[in-house]
Amino acid sequence: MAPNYPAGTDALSGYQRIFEGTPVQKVLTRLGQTDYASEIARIRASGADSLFFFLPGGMGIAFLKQYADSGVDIPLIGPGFSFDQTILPAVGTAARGVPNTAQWSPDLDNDANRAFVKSFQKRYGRLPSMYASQGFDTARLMVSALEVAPVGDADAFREALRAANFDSVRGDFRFNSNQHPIQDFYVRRVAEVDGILTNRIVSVALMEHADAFAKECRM
Amino acid sequence: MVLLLVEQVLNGLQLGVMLFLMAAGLALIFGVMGLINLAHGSLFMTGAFVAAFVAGCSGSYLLALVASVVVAASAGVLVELLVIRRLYSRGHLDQVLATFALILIFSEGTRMIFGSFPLYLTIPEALAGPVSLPFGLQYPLFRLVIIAAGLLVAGGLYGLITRTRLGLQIQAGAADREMIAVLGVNVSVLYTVIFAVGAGLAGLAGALVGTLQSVEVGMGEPVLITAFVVIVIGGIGSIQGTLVGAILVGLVQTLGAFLLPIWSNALLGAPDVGAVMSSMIIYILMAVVLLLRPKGLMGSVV
Repeated sequence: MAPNYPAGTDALSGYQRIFEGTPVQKVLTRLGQTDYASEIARIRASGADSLFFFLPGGMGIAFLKQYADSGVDIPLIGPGFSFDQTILPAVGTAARGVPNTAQWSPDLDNDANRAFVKSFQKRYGRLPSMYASQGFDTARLMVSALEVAPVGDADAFREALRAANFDSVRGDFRFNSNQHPIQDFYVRRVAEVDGILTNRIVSVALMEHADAFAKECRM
Repeated sequence: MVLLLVEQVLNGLQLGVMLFLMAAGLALIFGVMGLINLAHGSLFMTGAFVAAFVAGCSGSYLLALVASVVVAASAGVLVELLVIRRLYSRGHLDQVLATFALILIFSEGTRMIFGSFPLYLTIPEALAGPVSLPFGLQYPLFRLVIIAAGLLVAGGLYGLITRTRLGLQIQAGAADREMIAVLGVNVSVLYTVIFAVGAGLAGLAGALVGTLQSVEVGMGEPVLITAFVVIVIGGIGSIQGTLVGAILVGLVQTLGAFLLPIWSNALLGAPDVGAVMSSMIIYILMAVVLLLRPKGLMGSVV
């Protein structure tokens, strides 16, 4: 299930590309929809073994709350956006135990990430979101390029960015020929740690995964 | 399939009553006072945020509901005295501009007070979970509560307008503002009261609907658009019309989202066509209603 707009249909075709079972039904919702009673009734009647959903932001909060209250027990799975640290406090226990996937997690075990999470918590008094981790990586990437190439030399600076020579909080990654990262994706599960809902890594979902369109890119 | 259809009809009714709750305050302000209040969604958001805050502090959902109505109504009074009062005699464009500014002020103000993260507001334990209805139907209790609340508000508003002295003045004010002023009714106090009632209803709707959805900055604006659609379909100036319009929109929206993909799949082999159609079906409904009845289903004023 996803909203009927490019990112939504993209998420669905991406999931279907790797999904090994037989899809029973595809549910497209309105973008910005906040009431899911009708969809939940269809999900209950579908007899599916699991539901993949892509509903970023408030749509995901609304859906998760309503789904938990509906008593439907078909297990959910979704991308990390709907289980991000910015969303979890508003969803509450309705999200507990749901598996989701992302290229990063607050408990990811590497030096850069441990230091990042610790200093972020000290500065802001909360756990960093996935967006914060991406912002941090982006800034570090630019700093790493600045250290080896002058900004005035566009070609040299571009090459320095492409090298991505810094310790990313997502662990080792490199840029593909289309300038999208080749990186690991993790399965995380929403858990309550010291009274705060957050994500804990369960396993690696995809090792050194490159996007499906890299070969078609002429960049 | 039949059972699923029955459940979807129930969902449509429920959405309709929810839409009525959201539109009721606007129907009063837009329909009776003739004022285009774009900030209605902001008052809706205020209700939801106050409910989330009070429920978080006190743990009492009932107290949160009461607080949301009181604060939204007070905010309504303040806004009426400071801004809206100057707009009655001006054109709709001035009203749109001024109340649009109010949206921005409310949104940024809320962001300054509560931050930009969505707040936590959940269904109280006693009303959580599904209940069993006849024919083995499972339906969330809280949605039944929303239906009851919506019908209660509809009954209350109808009673207020048709059975009380205040209601008489409201109707008279809608028909001829100057004449009832001449007859000795304090019109400016009357309009402040109507605006406060409308704002309080928006706050109540925000608290109830926010419980099911996401309490975040910007949650009010989509509500505003649907509420205007409901009022235009129902007919401006008619509370009964708003209820009929809301239930019609709720049913068409829900059954459209359910049936159109099935039909388009059966007819064209393309379920996505139906999904696209269902996104616009309420606007098509509005266009058809306006084509056949330019005043809306039960409208008298235009």
